[in-house]
Amino acid sequence: MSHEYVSVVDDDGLVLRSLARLFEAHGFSVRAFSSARDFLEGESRPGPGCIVMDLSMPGLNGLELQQALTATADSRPVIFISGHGSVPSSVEAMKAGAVDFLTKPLDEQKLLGAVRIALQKDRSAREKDAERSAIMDRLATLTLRERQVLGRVVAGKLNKQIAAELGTAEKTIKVHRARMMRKMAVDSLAQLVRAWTLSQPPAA
Amino acid sequence: MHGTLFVVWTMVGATSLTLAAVHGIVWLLDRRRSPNLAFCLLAVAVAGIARTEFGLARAATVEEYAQWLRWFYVASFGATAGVVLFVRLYFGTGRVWLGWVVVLLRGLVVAGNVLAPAGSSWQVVRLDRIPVFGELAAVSADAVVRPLQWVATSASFVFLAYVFDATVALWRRPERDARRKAALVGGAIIGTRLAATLQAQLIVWGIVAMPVMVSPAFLIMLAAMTYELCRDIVASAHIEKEAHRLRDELAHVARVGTLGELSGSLAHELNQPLGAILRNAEAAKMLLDRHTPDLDELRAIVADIRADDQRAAAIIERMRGLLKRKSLELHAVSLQPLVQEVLALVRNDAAARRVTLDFAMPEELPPVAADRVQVSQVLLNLLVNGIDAVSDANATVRRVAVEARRTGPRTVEVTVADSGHGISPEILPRVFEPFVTTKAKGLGIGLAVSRTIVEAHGGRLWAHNNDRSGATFRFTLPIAEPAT
Repeated sequence: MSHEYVSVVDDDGLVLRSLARLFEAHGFSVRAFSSARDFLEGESRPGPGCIVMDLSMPGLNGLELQQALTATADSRPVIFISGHGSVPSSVEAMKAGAVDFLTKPLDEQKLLGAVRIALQKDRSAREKDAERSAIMDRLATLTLRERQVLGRVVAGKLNKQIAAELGTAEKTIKVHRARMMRKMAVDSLAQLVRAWTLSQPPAA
Repeated sequence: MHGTLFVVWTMVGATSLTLAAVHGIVWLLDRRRSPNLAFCLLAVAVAGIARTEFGLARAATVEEYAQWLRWFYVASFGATAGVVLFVRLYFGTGRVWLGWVVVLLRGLVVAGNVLAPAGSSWQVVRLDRIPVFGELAAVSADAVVRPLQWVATSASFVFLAYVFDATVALWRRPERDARRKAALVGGAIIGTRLAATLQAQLIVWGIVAMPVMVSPAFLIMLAAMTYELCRDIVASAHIEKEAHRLRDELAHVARVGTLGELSGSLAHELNQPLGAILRNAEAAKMLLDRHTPDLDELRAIVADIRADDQRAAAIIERMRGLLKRKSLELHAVSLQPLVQEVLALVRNDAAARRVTLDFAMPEELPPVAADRVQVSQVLLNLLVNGIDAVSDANATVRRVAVEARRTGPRTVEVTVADSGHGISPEILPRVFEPFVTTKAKGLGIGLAVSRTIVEAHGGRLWAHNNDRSGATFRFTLPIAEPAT
């Protein structure tokens, strides 16, 4: 897994530098951007990490940048900082998936805490992503018949029922099922169901 | 060889003419002061009376005496009409028709004596010479009184009635100075007239042999009038000064109010550098705790802390400047930095409400003659209004544009245009009136004060709706005279 960064976006140069220094002093790796445009250009291939951005910036503002990120499937957690936390904009930001919404004057501990939580969230999201893609890879190795068996097993059907539905002997289904379990790298029905659930696209 | 009489009449004449000149100048400088003009005419007439009285006293023959008497009637007509006019203009009371009766009757007397052969009302047939103040003066020894003299006498009584009536009316008025004016000026006029009429009767009817000497009494009346007129001038100078002071005071109050509205965003602006200082200090502290502190980084941190501090100081200085209480002072002011500073004050507020601020002005724009603080206030007020308008309108185009350009050889025009909802037609004619507001929290004095400020600069402030959306406020300022 590549190194994680805290990306800071603020149009105010002095504020930007002080934020970057604070994070660096606390051991985070930082990338600083003085505008939304710079950020979008500089992070076209985003790695792990989180984003700390000012809500009101000239040009593309924080909320618009957040929308742009959603559009490019950049799922990094976003922490907004704002000098004047108006209720509508904070609601909008949180709805769009912001981790936190901090108002200036910033409380250092809160800010650092929010960054830690955001990074943690990003990490677990990435782990989940990694797991899901591993399962997807395994699913891809199944034959058509094995997939048919899998679908019916997770639906709670017995080997006998599956054999009847697919028009083969129960013994044959048992063989398919054992091979499928091995390919999916699971030992129990419970593990199989969990893997199956993970592989399904999240409910909208 | 001239004696005391010459000196007395010359002094009366010279004093009257001097007073006439002074008040004539006052009227020329301020045409609203019409009582001063009436006084000027009256004082010239008194000088005329003094001159003719001297002529009468020095008359060698009955014919010469009659000749001077004609001019005496002309001068005293002027004095009477002057007083009637003065009372009307200065007291503002009295019956106009009575005044006209006086003027008409005295006019008849003048016409009779000037157009008809000399002595139509009172003909002196024999002169005598009696010692007055050590020299001989001509006096009437024998005279014929004609019916026209009764007209002159009744004119005097109508005159007294007119002045008395006007004085009483003034006395009853509620103004603070009304009673003093009525007593002093009204009393002086009535006293002078009574003395003059009494003397005239004594001479005309041959009861006392004395030269005609009414002009010194008139001087007392002129003195009373001058005293009051001067008091008025001094008082109005005080009032003007007071008005200026109140205008500055009101401007200050409005300024404090506007800054109050912006206080949230100003606090934020101040928090930016203060927060940055704190984070820099924290970072520096952690750097110093390391075994080998990065000195270059520490230097950069200290430099940033300095810059942050200066920035905070600049914000406070800007606010302090606007909060200062001071009177209007015109200097040559360059608009570019002034507009930039005001924009800096509202920048945060605008950003928070997603309003873009634009500013355009040609580089070669000459400096204007302006009070930096008060013009900043006008601009601040217009910008805050513009941002509010855009914000309230929920418009898709969200901008407020400031422009400055030269529109005449001596004029610079500054415009503040917004893309809001414009000004409703029923409010538009009244937007500059005090206490007219569309804001829930506004007091409605911002624009009224702004207009007063611009007008005190010799400029104009007006508003109109734009063709497409929003409103534009424009004000002009005079270009500063090149420094000499």
